[in-house]
Amino acid sequence: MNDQGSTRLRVAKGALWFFVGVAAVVAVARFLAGLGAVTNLTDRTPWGLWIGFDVMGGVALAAGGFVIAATVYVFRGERFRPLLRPAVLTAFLGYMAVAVGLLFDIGRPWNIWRPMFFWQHHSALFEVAWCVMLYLTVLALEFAPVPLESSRFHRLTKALKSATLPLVILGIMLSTLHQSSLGTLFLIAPARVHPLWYTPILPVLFLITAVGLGMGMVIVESKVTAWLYRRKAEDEILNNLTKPLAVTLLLYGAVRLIDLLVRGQGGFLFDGSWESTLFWFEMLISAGLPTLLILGGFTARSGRALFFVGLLVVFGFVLHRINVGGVSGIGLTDTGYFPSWEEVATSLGVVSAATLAFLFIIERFHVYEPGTEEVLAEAEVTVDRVRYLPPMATLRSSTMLFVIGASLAFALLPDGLVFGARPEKTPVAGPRRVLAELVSQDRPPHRFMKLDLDAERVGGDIHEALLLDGNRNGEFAVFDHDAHAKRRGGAAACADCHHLNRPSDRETSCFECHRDQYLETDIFRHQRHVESLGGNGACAECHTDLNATRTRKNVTHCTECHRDMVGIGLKALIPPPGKDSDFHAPSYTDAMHGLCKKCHDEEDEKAGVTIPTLGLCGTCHTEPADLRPRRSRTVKED
Amino acid sequence: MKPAAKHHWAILTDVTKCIGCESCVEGCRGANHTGRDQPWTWQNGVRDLSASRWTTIDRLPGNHYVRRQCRHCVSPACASACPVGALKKTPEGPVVYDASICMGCRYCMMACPFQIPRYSWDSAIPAVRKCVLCHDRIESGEAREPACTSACPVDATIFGTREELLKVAKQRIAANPNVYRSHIWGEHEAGGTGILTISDVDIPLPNTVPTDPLPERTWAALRTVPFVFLGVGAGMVGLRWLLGRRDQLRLAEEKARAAEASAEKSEE
Amino acid sequence: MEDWLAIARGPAFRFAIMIMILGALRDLIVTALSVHTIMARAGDKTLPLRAIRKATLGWLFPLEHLRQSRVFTAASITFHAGVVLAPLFLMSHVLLIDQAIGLSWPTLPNILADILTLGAIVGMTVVFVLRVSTGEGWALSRGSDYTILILTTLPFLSGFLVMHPGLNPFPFQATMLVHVLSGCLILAILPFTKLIHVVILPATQLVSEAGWHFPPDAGEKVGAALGKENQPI
Repeated sequence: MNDQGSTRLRVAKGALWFFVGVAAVVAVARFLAGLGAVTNLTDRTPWGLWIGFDVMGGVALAAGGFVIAATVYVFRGERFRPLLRPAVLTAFLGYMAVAVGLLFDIGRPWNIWRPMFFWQHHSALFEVAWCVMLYLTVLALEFAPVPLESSRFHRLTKALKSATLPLVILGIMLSTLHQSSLGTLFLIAPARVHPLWYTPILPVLFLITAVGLGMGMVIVESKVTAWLYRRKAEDEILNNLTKPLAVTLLLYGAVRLIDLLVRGQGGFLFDGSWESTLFWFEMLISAGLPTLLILGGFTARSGRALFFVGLLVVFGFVLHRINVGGVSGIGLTDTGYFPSWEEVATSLGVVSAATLAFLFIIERFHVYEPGTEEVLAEAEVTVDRVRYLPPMATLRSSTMLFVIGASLAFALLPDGLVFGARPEKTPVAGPRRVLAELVSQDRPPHRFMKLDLDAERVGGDIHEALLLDGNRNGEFAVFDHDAHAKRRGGAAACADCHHLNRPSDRETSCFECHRDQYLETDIFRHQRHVESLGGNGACAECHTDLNATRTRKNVTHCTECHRDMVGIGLKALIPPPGKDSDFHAPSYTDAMHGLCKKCHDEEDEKAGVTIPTLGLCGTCHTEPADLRPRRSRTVKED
Repeated sequence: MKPAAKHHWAILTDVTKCIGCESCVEGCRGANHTGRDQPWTWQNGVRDLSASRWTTIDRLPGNHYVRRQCRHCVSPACASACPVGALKKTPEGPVVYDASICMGCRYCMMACPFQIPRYSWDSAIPAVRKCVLCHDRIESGEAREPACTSACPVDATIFGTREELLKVAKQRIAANPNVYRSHIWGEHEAGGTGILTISDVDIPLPNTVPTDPLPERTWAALRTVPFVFLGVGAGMVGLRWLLGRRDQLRLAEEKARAAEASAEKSEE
Repeated sequence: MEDWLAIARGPAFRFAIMIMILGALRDLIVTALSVHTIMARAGDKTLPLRAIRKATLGWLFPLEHLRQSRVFTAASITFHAGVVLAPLFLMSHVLLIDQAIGLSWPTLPNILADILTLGAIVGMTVVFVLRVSTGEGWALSRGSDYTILILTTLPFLSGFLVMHPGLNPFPFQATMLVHVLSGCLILAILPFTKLIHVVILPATQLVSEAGWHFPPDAGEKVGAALGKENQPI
């Protein structure tokens, strides 16, 4: 099977390489910077897309291997033999994808071998781990004769081929356990799976879906490779699968509905919640629609309907597993998890790599029956078909897409991940002229501030206001600075707020609004200085030596112009000239606990003042709990 | 032989006494070197439990303060879920964690009905983080009780054995039936926990904390594994033989019929 | 404008530099593999290695060519010297890299960097004019040759203006944006265009020589492909 020149194949391979490229860069970031840096996983949703799709879905897609092996060897369905090799290969690569996906997901992948030696037979995951390991080995041995039969290891090949039957049966035993143990995994977490999905018979359900998935996946895989390689699909054989598939689907639907009624959770079916909608959607595409299409005879008539049925079953059952694995629990655990693009990219990349490996193997080894290939190609031999393709044309376009994917991923990674943590930009943008509408006469007057670019034209009570984005989420709060200053008593009161002691605050800690207390801040804005000093001509105002490299270390110091600001803390925040001045203000917490508090303590001691000063936390930490002095500190009582 | 659950170490927290000072939080932070609170964007304020805050105080309306920490269940779901035994229930009661064995699957976090274990997401070598009841410090003789209980200025949270503390709790409720709810949180939840709480208000637990021990649910399925494994194997071998025999018989029958037919033909 | 500049310096630059590094690496590898396959298939497996080496060195150090077409070669050498040295050893660039990933190396004095930059701009102008005006130049050049030449000059021109704000008639930030973006563009198109010669120039002579070594039955295949088997060509 060698048709490297076909355009659709080259496009498909290019796309797969692109995803592999993206995933490669994300992988590096994930292993260097940790899970938190690239995933949206949280303490509330410790399992995300990588488990839900890669592991749960990957194992599901691999189900074709044991289903077809059982059909051929146990049920003596010799006519299905042409499907066997591709199915086993899909299963093997599917399991490899699962293993790789797991390496990404688990926090300490270098410990992945430990379940082999630390036996915890009470853990469902322990069973899963063992099954993955053993079944992967069995699949490798089962498929090994294919690449080996064209090599010179004849005796080994023969030995492996003669062991096929025991291997197949062992494979079926392991698959039964493994597919069902994925369901067992969630038995211990009733709080995380919606009652429509949570049932003590989850293991049984997963086994049934595995059988359905196996058949669906064989159909999909056969049709897709047929399309890619312009091969004739094994429609007659595949159609023989539809009857058992329909039986499986009906059984599945019946078991699920009966189980729901027996457990008395039928009420959730029609409560109109999004979970119930999801349930019906899932049931419709996984069991309902495919059964109708099969029983209605559509699949027997059209290859397309057959493909569509396969696709529906695969998609529906993978959806079922993803739903059990997390989606259905969103409402219960009250989490807003949505996978980050890095997670999606990694999942796609792992699947793409497995697909590329699949294509690589079927192009080089005897996986598909001869005679089914090149049926369409025969008719098209023209001069055009032997057009010159430079050596490794596929490799060229594919690897180029790998490079583009990797570069794109590298560009999209957060700055902090690539270069390490950087100080945040100052959260203050502004000032703007805004409309202020008085909404209450209480003291202090509460104003409704409206950001209106046409404030001047509209008229009304116009204020100068600052735009603050304290938590850097891109949403600015309009802050009426003048009104605050006025209320606090004019210029003398700057320190009231500029030490973040909010007036009349008894309940909230500063950090509940000001998460940026922990962030180092870049307090210098170059553009504003350029603008206010008069554009390009004014560079020399600060960069007095224009020939020297113009950096922040090599420039006139702030305090030389802003003399009036020295008194209110700027000096404390910016290192004096000559030292390492990078205009980064330390975080407020650091400033208070590291810089401010120390001096204030000393000064207090000199003056014999004890209360209330900055030296005591209680001045700022105004909660009852915080008012008591910390034990580590001795406070003068007199 | 594990000592019975009643001799397990335990903590009794009395919500009516707690003044919400968070001395326990700071005590824990110091004793376990958890580091300072880093706010994550998804956290409900820094007050939520995190990898650097193993115990915290939830503020209920009306100045009621409820301490939250790992509950050291009598049959812990996390330890039973752990595939490598990194989390385990000690004979003394605390559920302890060994980071060097952990493979980071986070199944414990999925399994915990109280949603307690936290993860150091920002680290390239992450670990599960939760209260361990200062097990190592007490075992080594460095301390006589957990850092949190020793830090409490008003004895709102006290350390003892489970049996003893249950008795104390019952006494307090009996002495002031008008103040306390007649319920000891942790006596039966999830099969009983090492952390007991008595309160004058209802304590909201994460949605459906069951009363049965969760490991039982998994065990019900896992128990059948060897039988299923061997059963499926035997069934498959048997089926293969049976179907093979059927085909064989049919073939023989067909052959015989064909022979008969040809014999008839030759007779004619 | 500041935000645009942040995007240009951050994601856009990272994209460009990654494309350049990985793309160039890939080109080297694919080139090596191609030569290997060609030679494996070739009927005549002998390569005139000495001649190839001589030709390669002749193109790497084009002193021979200086004698043949004096102005063109001189301009080209000035252009190349400026294009390579000025951006790599400019103090501001080295400082940026130092801040970002902590790597640094010796730098050029600013005045020398200015001279090299101006040299590059002048050199490129002369090359451009000669390509347009002389017959051979016109005949050998494609549209992309001119485009790339102009594109290459853009970051140098804007960079010079950024360094000398007094001479700059445009707003500082805008000039900076043009500088960064055009620089990124050059890096990003490097593996796709003739600019790739910065990495595969040493191999071009070898590749073109290898390309003339056909497989043993190549001639018959051509005949078959054209449907003219057994016909004299």
